[in-house]
Amino acid sequence: MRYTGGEALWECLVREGVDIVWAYPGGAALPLFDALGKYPQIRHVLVRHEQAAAHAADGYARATGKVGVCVATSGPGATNLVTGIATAMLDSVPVVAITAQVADSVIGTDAFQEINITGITLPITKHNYLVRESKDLVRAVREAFFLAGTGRPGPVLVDLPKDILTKPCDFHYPERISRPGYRPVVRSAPYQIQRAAQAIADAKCPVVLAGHGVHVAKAWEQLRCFAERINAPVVSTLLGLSALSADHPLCLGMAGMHGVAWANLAVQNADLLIAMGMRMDDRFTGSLPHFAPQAKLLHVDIDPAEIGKRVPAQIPMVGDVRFVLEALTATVPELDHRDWLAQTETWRGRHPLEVHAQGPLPPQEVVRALYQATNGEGVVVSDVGQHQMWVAQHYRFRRLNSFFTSGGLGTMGYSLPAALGVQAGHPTEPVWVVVGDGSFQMNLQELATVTQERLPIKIVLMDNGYLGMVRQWQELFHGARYIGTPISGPDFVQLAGSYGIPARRVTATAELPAAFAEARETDGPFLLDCKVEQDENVYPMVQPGTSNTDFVEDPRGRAQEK
Amino acid sequence: MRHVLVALVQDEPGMLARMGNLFARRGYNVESFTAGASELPGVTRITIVVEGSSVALDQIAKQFRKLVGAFKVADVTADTDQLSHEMLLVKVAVNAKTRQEVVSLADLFKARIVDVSSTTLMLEATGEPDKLDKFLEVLRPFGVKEQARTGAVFMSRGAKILNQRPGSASDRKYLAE
Repeated sequence: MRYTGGEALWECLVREGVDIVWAYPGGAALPLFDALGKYPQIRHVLVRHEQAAAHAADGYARATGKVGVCVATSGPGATNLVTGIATAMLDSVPVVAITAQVADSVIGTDAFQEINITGITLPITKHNYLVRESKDLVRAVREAFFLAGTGRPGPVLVDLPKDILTKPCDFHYPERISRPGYRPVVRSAPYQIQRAAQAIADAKCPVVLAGHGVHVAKAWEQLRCFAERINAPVVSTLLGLSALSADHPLCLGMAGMHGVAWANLAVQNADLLIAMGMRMDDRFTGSLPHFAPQAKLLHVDIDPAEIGKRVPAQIPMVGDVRFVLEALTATVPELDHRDWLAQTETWRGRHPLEVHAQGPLPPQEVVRALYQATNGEGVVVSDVGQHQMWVAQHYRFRRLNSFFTSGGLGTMGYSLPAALGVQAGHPTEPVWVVVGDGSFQMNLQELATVTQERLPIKIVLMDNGYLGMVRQWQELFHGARYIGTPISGPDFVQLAGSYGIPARRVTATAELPAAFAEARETDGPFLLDCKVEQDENVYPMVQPGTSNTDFVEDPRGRAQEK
Repeated sequence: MRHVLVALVQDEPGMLARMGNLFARRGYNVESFTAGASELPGVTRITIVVEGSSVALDQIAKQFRKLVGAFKVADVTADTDQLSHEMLLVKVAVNAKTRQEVVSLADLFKARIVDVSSTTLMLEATGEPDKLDKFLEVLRPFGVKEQARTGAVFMSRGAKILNQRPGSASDRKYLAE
């Protein structure tokens, strides 16, 4: 069968099961968009900025486990994808980015809208391709999907010169691909399972650490069975939240810089950490010399480069989290750690997560009201900053894989565009976006996309007139000199209105239940402009360079002994 | 500490940049980098000599292995039973008085005379990098006009081979899963 290069691309995408792409056209991409007209089975969402296309593909991939696809033209179209691609790279999200390129004959001449996007994205993609001959197009796209979605997932970019898109292209879709040397280890060796099982059986105070890998491997059920089998508490990373229902008696929530006290104390006092698909990020470990000083580390990850990268692992295990959890559950005896669990509950009782904020609308109450309104079963996308940490702390995720945020890169502006993709993965229910006024203003052009696609995205704007997390650091570490952090904005209710999105301003805690009810019950999108307290800080907080045991609690709370 | 990495990589565009990026992002300066055809068709053998901490080099080697198209990456620094050879071309200034002295030094270092002019001699020498350093040292008083070194290539002695055959059965097995 003969197609043009542009048609061949869509043929590939159809075969990969792609039914939606987030895209923005341009000169070099014209043949690609022209061909798209012949593929009504692929829904095309026109975003308002290419960065949003990349975040949307990322959100879709996180919500569904499928590869998300974004498309941009050459030059500025391609460079606008960069932040989104880097976000996906840092959080191991399978995204295929298709970029058009200037014609092959003028590559390297600084032609109009030419940029070396494979060069630019080299360090932020799992792999990338510049297709210089028609015969390589199909294989490159096939490989891109294969690489993005297997092993440790990640973004893959395919750059397609304009003339390749118009020229005829022999189409033969390979059933199988072989990438010599690319061989992710999925199944850990039996002796490793035995050794790990022995360490687990010997431990007195084990803690399971659930990272993003649990979601990637879709190992929620396996995590629960394993934790129940060994009766060990489960602590999450930021991206590991919602890997186990917050209602589960073994679920302790998030540890780390803004983790809850009892989770940090459990990790710090553990004698065995069973790390599942996480990378010991600095925001999680705090000061490395002080991190979990008595603990042995059993580190499971599909990426061998993550094991021992920051914390030496006494029991390293390369493998897929789901496989390892199943194998361990089948191997370890049923264990009883009731004293240890009682200890973690004591810590929970001593250091409860309470709201001590004064004033009419503490931001934490907004998150609590969202939790109430959704019964903890909402699909939540959070942006980056203080509000993100309050969501992580105060929203109790009762539903699996229901929390999406930029963890590794900490990309402000992520939430609204990512929600476009999350919504595509959850078409029949609202998606809740929690966003600060700083983050919102980074990508609020996507309100137009929300309206155009009639998406029931409910935006909970935590509007405090500050870049709050940076302001908090200025208050604590820079003599309260608030330079560059006060931020103004438009009248967000009017702004939403001009996009045809109903909105409501909230200024007091008492208004929250009715406001959330209105947001939930209104068909289509809704914006809640919550005018929260301006100078709230996120507590507890582990100050940079200190031990996770030395978390600072809200000074307004009761002074408690640790 | 000086480390030596040996790798087998697919011969394709961008591979060099990907490898270079592993060092550049850490601000490492690669001492020598050699690339050439290996015994496997379409596979390039790379030898990299670089100064750095063992922890960092271990991480670089792990990231290197993750590059799509890298089949085998080994830090052979600790491998004592190996050959590390490089080639040197050097153009030395000579005159009627000094020519014979340079020729006999070349003899001593088993270097070949590959080009002769009235004022210069071009010598070709191979061997351990240290030996070539010494050779250059004794030539320097005569006037080293130009020198070019290839950087070292490494190979283990005995039956040990670096190659782990690419495209193995387990590759296909993974894909089928």
